[in-house]
Amino acid sequence: MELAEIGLGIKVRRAAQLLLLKSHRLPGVKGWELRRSIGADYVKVLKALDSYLEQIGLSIKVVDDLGNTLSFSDDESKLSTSRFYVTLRDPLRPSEVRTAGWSIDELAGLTVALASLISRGGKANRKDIEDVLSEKFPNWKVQLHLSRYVKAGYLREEGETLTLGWRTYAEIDIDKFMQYVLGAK
Amino acid sequence: MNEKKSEVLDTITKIITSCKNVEERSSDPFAIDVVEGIELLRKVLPMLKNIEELSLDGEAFYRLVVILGLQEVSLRNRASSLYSDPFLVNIKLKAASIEGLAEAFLRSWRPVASSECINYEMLRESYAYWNGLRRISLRGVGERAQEKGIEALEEMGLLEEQDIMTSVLKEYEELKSLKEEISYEDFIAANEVDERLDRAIILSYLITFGYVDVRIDPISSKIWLKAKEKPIIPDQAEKSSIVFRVDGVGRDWAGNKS
Repeated sequence: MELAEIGLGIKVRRAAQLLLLKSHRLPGVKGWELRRSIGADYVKVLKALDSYLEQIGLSIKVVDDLGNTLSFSDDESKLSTSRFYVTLRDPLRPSEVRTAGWSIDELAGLTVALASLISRGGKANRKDIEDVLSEKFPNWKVQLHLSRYVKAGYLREEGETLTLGWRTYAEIDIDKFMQYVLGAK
Repeated sequence: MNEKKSEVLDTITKIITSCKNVEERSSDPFAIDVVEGIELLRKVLPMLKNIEELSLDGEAFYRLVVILGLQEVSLRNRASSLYSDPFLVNIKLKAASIEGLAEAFLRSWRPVASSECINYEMLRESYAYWNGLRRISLRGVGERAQEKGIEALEEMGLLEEQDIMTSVLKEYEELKSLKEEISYEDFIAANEVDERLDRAIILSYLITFGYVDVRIDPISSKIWLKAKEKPIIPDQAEKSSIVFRVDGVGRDWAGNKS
C-alpha cells in the first residue's frame, strides 16, 4: 500500500469520527471545521468516506445556511460554510420508526405541519398551523406535538411564527416530500 | 387644516399597522397594495412638517419596502418547482388518512446518524476537574439547618442569584404590562445612583436571557426597550455588546479617584 493511500485512510477515519460523533449541540460539522481538521483535500476525503458509507446504507448530506442541499462538486467557498451530516440512504419502515420513539400520530402531525409550512413559503403563524392540526387532533395533543417538533429541530419558533428547522433541511428531501404528500391516500 | 392633518397621520399609521400585521403573521404580502401606499405617501409628504411626522412617513415607506421584498420572495417561491398551492395542500391534508400522511413522511425521511460517546481522555479530564472543584461547605448548618438556612444559602452564593432573578421576573412583568416601548433612561430612572445601577444590572439580565428586545434609534442614538411576549433567545441571533450609561456613576468614580 502506498503512503498516499495510508494517509487517505487515516483522514477518512478522522472524517468519520467528526461526522458521526456529536461534538456540538447540533449534529453535523461545518466545512471549514472539516478543512481545519482534515486538510485542504477534505472534499476528496469526504467523497471517499461517502463511497464507503454507501455500502452500509448511509450517505453524506451537505446543507447550506439557507437549507439548500449541495453536492461535493459545488464551489468550495459554498461548501466551507455549509454543514455536513451523515444520514440514512434508504427510508425507514414504519415498524422501525416506532422503535425510534415516534408514534404514527406524531409523524402524521409533523407531515401536516411541514406541508402547511412549505406551501406557505416555509414560514407561517403558529396559530394557522395549530388550526390545521386541530382538525384531526385534540388541542392538548397539538400543543404537545408542536413542542416536540420544535425541540427536535424540525420546526423553529420565533415569537408567534413557525419556520422550517435545521433538521427538516438535513433529513427531508422537500421536493419528494411534497410529491408524496400530494399523492397521499 | 389640523383635522385634515390628523386624518393624514391616521392613514400613515394604518399603513404601518397593516404592513406590520402582514410581516408578523406571515400572511399574503400581496394583500398590501404597495404602489397605492407609496402614491399616498408621495401625495401627503408636503403636508408633513415636523420631525415626528416625517419619521412616521419614513417608517411607513420602510414598511412598504419590506412588503415589496416579501412579495418578491413570495413570487420566487411560487415560480420554483417546489411551490404547491397552500389551498390545494390544505385540502389534500384534510382528505388524507393519518397512515397515508405518516407514510408520505417516511418515504422522504433520511434521519441523521449521529452518536454521543465518552472516551478515556474525556473521563480523565472530567475527573481532574472534579478534583479541582471547591467543596461546598455547610459548616455550622448541621442540626440547625432550619434556623441558618438563609445564611447557608448566602454562603453558597445561591441566595443572591435567586433575588436577582426574582427582580428580573418582576421587572419583566411590569415591562410586559406597558405594551409599548420604553426608553432606557425612563427604565432606569430613580433618585439614587445605587437604585439606577440596580435597574441597569436587572436590564442586562433581561436582555441576556431574551426577555426584552432592544432597539437603538440610528438618528438620535436613543435606546428603546420592549418586553417580548415570550422570553426567547434566537439560535442565530447577531450577538453584540451594548454600553449603557448610568447617570451619576461616572462622576462618583471620578470623585473617588481624586
